[in-house]
Amino acid sequence: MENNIIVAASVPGYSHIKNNIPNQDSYSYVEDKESGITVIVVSDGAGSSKNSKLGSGLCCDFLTGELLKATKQTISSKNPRMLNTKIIESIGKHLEYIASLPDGISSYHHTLSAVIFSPYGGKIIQIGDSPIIHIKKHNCSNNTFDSTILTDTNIYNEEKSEYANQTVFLTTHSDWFKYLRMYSFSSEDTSAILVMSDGAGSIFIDKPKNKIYSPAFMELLKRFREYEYLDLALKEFLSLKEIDSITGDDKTLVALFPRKWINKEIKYSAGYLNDNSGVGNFSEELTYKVEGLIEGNSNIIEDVKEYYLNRTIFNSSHIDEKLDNKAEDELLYKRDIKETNNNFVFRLCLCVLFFLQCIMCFLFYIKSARLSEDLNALNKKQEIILVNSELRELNSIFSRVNIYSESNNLCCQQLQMLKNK
Amino acid sequence: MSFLPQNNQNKVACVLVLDGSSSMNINIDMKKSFSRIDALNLGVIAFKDDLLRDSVAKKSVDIAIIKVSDVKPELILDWVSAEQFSPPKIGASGSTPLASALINAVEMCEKRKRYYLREGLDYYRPWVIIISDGEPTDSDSDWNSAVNIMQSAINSKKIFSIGVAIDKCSTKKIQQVSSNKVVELSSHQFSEFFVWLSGSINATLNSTDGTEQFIATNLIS
Repeated sequence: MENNIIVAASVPGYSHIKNNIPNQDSYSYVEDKESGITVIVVSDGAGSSKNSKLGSGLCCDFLTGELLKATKQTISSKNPRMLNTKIIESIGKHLEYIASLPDGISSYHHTLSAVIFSPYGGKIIQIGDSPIIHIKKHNCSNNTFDSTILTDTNIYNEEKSEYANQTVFLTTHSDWFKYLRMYSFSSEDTSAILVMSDGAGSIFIDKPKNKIYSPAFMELLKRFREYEYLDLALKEFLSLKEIDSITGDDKTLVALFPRKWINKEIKYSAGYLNDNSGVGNFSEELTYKVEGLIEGNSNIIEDVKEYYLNRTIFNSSHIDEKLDNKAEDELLYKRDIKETNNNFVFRLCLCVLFFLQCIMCFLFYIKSARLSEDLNALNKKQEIILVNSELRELNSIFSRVNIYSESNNLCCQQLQMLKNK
Repeated sequence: MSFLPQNNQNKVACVLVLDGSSSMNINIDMKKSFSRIDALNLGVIAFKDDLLRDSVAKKSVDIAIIKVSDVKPELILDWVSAEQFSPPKIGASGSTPLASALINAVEMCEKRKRYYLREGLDYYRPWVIIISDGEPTDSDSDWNSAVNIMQSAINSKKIFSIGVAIDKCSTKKIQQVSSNKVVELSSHQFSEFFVWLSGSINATLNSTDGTEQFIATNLIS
């Protein structure tokens, strides 16, 4: 399967740096090379919510894998309608987990913008104001993008409320599904997909016209051509000092280009994870989360660790590679302990069950023995009654027979007497 | 840089309704001639300087100033961005016709919002800052109608209003047109107040839920 080119970066906004607030944006992506399915998730944590960084991080890491799984299941089931249900189920599972964490769900406010890109078609999934730009195919000719015709694009974003930044987060309403926006698009008719936080949206979207801001996008492509490492090109672009006068917010962009449009050897810097397992750039995000995102709140960290322990099937290669040794050892140790404990408890339960079963059998045996004795006694009694009655009947028969025989004898005697006469 | 959009900042409109009545001529420094109005002028300059320190705020904040003096209020500065803001020198004379100034302020905010909508710009709720050293001199009926308009605008979230009472003047009437508790200031604290105001507007610009944010200060209890 031909791979896509994915470039991603996230940089903190200058106001976050100034106020010592962490980058609350998160992103993750996964590319399944076998099926050709790519899933990208970007989430923007609310600045006013205490644990929003954790919320956005969990959202990205969990939903990337879940949406990939859902897409694969849908494709193998050949029932396209199944995908929407699976998507909603996946988001529901994520929210259920978030709701189980301490401090209440409102302290984890975050948006969700996700793209499923597959040879069978594409899907856009959104709640909140993290925009997605879909650039259509005819904008891309001769392996380049033509800015003059970079107009046939779709911008997917939340409908504006009266005042800026008043967004509905994934975590705002219990009936979140009412705010969920899902759109399908043709993957054949795609030359690029840009998934971003609203900070990056201030650079790539011409807000007054609600269109892609072509000069910014063309400059980014120019840098992609010129730079050796694509991720560094993007990171440097998003970190430009001049952008600080447009937005002080965190800026995150994940750009997907179908491979056929770019004739360039793709290189990523050493820190950029794009390994063969197909797991995207979680690196700093995950280490940060596990290592103490919320200082002094050990419960949450324990919960997060627990969460990742239960999810190692999905992103084990990623965790193994990116966590530092200490965290990794700790996680593996805890997992071993947990597995051992689980085995012991399981075996103990089996023993108890077996013992209970034995007791039950024994009691049943005793009871049935007694029952059979009673039954025998009853049978015998019935037999006696029966024999007695039969005997009585026989006696009566015999007695009748005797009478008959006597009368028969008498008749015979009388006949003999008559004959003699 | 030419490849970056030039007009993509979220906007916040801020109207300063400043008392320019004759009582603002009271000297507050016995050693030199320095009146309340001089302190207020310095405060407005401090406001501008602090806004310019922030790269987003200087492009995002739009300012207008209404002076409350004489018979009717005077618009001494129509909407300008903080970047182009050149604080006018405010003089003091006459009475305090605050009621019509407030009605003008609400109308100006609505007009500015319509402009933002037309231009396709995102904006935050406008801020109305009312600074006075005494009770308004309007008739009761004028004042009451101004209070109704202000309260309706506040309750329907059309504006956010901060009332500031100077030098222990009565806060009763200003409180009627304020969103929160009136800020009580000494004339010497104008600069401090305006720096706080700039910081709070800036914090609001960086908020992700669009609500007004206030930085910590000793000015407000």
